[in-house]
Amino acid sequence: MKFNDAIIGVFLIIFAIIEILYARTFPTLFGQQFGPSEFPILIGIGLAFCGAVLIMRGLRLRYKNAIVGGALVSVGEWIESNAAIANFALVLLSILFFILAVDDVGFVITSFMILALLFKRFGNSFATSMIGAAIMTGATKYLFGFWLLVPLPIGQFGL
Amino acid sequence: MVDPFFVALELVFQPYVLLVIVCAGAFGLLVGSIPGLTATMATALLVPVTFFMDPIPAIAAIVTTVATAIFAGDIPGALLRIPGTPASAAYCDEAFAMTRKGQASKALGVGLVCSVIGGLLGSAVLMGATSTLADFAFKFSSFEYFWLACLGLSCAVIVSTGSVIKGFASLLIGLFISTIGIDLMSGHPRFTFGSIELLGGVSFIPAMIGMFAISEILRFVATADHVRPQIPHQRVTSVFEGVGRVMSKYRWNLLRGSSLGALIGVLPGAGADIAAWVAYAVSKRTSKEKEKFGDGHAEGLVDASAANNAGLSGAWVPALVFGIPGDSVTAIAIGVLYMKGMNPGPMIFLENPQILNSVFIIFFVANLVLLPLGYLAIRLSTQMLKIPARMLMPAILLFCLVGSFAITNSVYGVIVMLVMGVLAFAMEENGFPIAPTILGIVLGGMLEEMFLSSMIKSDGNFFEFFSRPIAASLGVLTIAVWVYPIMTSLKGNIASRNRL
Repeated sequence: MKFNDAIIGVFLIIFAIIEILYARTFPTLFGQQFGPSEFPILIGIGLAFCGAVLIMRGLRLRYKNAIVGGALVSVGEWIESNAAIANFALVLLSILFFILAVDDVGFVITSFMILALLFKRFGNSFATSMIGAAIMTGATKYLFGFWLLVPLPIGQFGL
Repeated sequence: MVDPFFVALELVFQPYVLLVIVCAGAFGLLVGSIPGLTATMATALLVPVTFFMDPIPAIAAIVTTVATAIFAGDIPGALLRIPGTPASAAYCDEAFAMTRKGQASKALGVGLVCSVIGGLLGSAVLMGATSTLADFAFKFSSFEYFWLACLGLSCAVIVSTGSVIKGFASLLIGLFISTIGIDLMSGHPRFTFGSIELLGGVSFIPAMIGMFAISEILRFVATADHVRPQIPHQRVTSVFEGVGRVMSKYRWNLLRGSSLGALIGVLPGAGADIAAWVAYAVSKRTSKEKEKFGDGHAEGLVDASAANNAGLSGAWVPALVFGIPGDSVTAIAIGVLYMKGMNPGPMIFLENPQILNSVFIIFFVANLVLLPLGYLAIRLSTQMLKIPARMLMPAILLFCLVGSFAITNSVYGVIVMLVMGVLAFAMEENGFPIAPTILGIVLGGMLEEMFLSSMIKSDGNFFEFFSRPIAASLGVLTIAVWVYPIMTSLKGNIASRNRL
């Protein structure tokens, strides 16, 4: 989803104001007039400046009725494809599933489920998806879990 | 008394040490070529193994792993536009553009040869000019470090493609992310909102995996087949074909990139990543063919590939002489040296000269071994091109998940990866370059620390930032870098109005 620069500029300014206001609550260093708030405030000022320039640029483009930047919001071609939206959501949901499930279910089962689903969804046959997911999961478990000694979660099933 | 150099030769050229070098080289190439897995991560994972080794093979393992991993980072960068390590990020787009033009072999061949030559020249600098360069770096105060960090960050905006203002916004987003966590000077938590994990800040490696790899996967699934850029399936058989001509044409770039890399590497805090960024920016700025940059031009690759490997050697100078890590990898290496009872610092020259000489020799051997191993890695890695993306992307996603998990040993790394991946995707959709964000995250902490230290020293007087000759020079250079695009833009506007 593409936003006109003016909208991004407004967002940056709002973010910068909130950030500056919050940073102003930080204490100063002992015996000094500055402290941990100084740097975030400077960043906020910089972001607000960038936001202001982007607003001017976005509005100028909009009033010129340019092809690019003319609309306030324009959707990418992929948004019009249900399959692309589903794939996009599936990748994000897979990562979320890993975050929520890996400690309880264990690395092997979680990874196998994610891989099998994504392989199949992206157009591989059922057999290829299952075999591919099993090989990839096993190889990753061996490489990271046994060889590189990363403590991958084994979950309640011990896998 | 036997010369320490000959003792060092005897220590390094033992079958066991040479075997460790070859194995570590293969490991470095493997990890470096897996998208999202960095040289730092390879080193960190190696530390438990080196615990069971003698000092020389332990150092050999670390040096070789890093040298090969830094080069291997070029491989996924060139083939998939996913830099294997942050040091490859500066010229990743350039190398990928070459691949899309059917020049994958040339991009990787140039990268390999430049890495080897850069690494060897960097080793020579490490060996020959250690004390001089260390003395120079030792004279740096927070003022010089502050301006150096500013210069590095400004280069990030310059090398970013597209709008400069969006590049700056991207950089500021990165700097903001770097402020999250506990403030080391005051101990005050900032933007953590009660989260214990966030107290330690946003973990950099999962952030990089998210911004470079997850955003790439999201782009893959979001792009319809007919508009997705197809990677040309090309044979990477003659890796060194045409490399000689490139080397000959850009021999001064090679020398400049290596020298710049070694010099930047020697400065504490500025490692291979910054060396590559600065070398690429210098190459772009001084090139006679500026317009070709971004479209698959080998010139920038020569400078930056040589610089990042030369920077590795340079980073060891302050690490060995002062115990100050030049980058995150040498920080881990210092830990290993302490673990082996060899405290880095000036005393190592007196107490363990053979160890010091061994480090120099190991750097030469590791960079020489990189040539055959790198060639083999390139030949094998091109198989990745033959794997259909529908198989590759889920596999990369799994590596990203595990790689992020491995850094924090918890799902916190995966959460950081997800958030940063979505952010990077949204930024790129709207024309914001993501590379400045990454550099902002890396350098933000150092920049703020140097800024506050300098403010304390100068009692809040900003003019003190220009009071020292080197600081003033760096400061003027940085401001010139900031002002130049504005002046160019204004000049362009005036010229276009005059035409109307």
